[in-house]
Amino acid sequence: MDIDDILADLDDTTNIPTSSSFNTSVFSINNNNNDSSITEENSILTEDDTLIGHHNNNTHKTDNNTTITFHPEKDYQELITTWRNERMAPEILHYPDNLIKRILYYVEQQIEYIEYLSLGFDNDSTSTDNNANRNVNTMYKDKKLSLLCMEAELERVKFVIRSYIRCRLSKIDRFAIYLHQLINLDDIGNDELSKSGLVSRTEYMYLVKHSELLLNHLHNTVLKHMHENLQAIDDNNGSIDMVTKPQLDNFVFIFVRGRNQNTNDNNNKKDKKETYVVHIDDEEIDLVTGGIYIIRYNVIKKYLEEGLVVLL
Amino acid sequence: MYGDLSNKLILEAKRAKQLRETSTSLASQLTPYQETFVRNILKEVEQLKQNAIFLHEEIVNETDPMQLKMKKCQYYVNFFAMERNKRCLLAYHKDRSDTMDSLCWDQQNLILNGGNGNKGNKHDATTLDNNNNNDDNDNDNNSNNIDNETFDINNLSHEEQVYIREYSKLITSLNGDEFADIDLNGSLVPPSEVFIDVRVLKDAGEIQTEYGVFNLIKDSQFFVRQSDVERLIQQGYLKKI
Repeated sequence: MDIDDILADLDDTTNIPTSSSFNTSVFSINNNNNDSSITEENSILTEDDTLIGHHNNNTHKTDNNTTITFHPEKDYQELITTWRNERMAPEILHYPDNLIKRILYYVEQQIEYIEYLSLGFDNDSTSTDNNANRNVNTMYKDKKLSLLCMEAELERVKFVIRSYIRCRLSKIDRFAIYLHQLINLDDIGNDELSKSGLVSRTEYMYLVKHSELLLNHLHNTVLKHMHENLQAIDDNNGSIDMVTKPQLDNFVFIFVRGRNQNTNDNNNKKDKKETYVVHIDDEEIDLVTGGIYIIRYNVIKKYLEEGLVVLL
Repeated sequence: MYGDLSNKLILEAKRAKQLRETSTSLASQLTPYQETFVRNILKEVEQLKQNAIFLHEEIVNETDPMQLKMKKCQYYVNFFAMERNKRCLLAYHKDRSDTMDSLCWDQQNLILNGGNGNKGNKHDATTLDNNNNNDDNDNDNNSNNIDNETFDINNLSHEEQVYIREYSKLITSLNGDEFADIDLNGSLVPPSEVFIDVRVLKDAGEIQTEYGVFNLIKDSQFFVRQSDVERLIQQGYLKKI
């Protein structure tokens, strides 16, 4: 699948002037009456991750000093980046638990909002008196368009999440035994696993259940007929290693994003761009901020985790 | 010679893979399970196993160093033949299970329907009425004579049938609470339009959507929301135009 096409698609609605993109429409959930005002701190999440109803968020905000604020636009950008990284990386990346939780929350809110709008308009168009009818009709049409755009945008965000999760699941399938070894090696239990952050709880459940199914199947059909020394499915003494491992030395395209991707805080250093050094064998290579490189994955792995580079 | 049968099995797997890539019809996605091959290979393995035990005893009792060398050599050849057979068998089964996995994701309802009645309908986003259920039963009864698109469960071995059913269940459970809004089984092609034109390929009774009830009669055409009918397109009731 061509990423550019997808991105172009995703950008489509944001280019239509009258439409509200996903991000802005998420904002408007919380201040239904003034559509145009977009503030950055609309809804809040308490520390134990329980979600507060959006209509009384202001009161709650004063009650709880420790609240996490939502930045839908930033989260959306982050989702896209995470998704792209995941699709291009040869191994499975860390699961952004909180990000996904927030995104799913936005989606839920957006669905509700769209439902609310479509219901609201139905009432408007039937119950208004004649004088206002004309106004309402034009307004109805205008809103209909933005409603359509919102739905399209919602479908796209859903697609990105779906594609992201499916990509991870397919990686889990491919590297099932490897992941098992990795997890057993560190001796991580179910609870600590989600803390380590490689896979989510659901994904862990999937990993365990699916490999159990597969092993049962293989055992029943093949392995139980074998010599006892040959019943392992992860031996690597003999010929070829039986465990599929991610090819960490694959080449990837990277974009060096740098530490401050939005603002140029360091004005005095404007002409001198930040560089990051990587070592390949004995050679030293400078990665200049804003540059695009093709490089082996394991070389830039640590920069990817820090978010200094993104995969393309 | 030892290992010949395994080679044939691998060739069969390759052929199946090629068929999968070139053909889009559902029936050719999974070729019939090569039970005789598998059974014969397992017989061969059994024979090799006996040989190995025999040779092992001989090695333990052997005193002449020259003879010992020969016996050991024989033993290793024997062992490698077993290992090769094992790898080939595993490769064949893994290839098939991978195919079943992807089928489960794409055609979940179809598989369950083909297997045992209409279990699959309970995951349906859109509720189909009784007409549809009767339809499905009809298809099941005269299997793939009429409908090439029906998945033939008889192509699978008994173990594979168990596997595919369990895996489908697993996928359904994934879709549960956390990703309830997302529908992980949905299309992996990026959506371009909210509303699409669809043509009805098979009678599917009535479906209920937010915008009212559609009566899906063969060859009729509708303008509907894509996310509402996604499942029906996957199942082959509707076609996007």
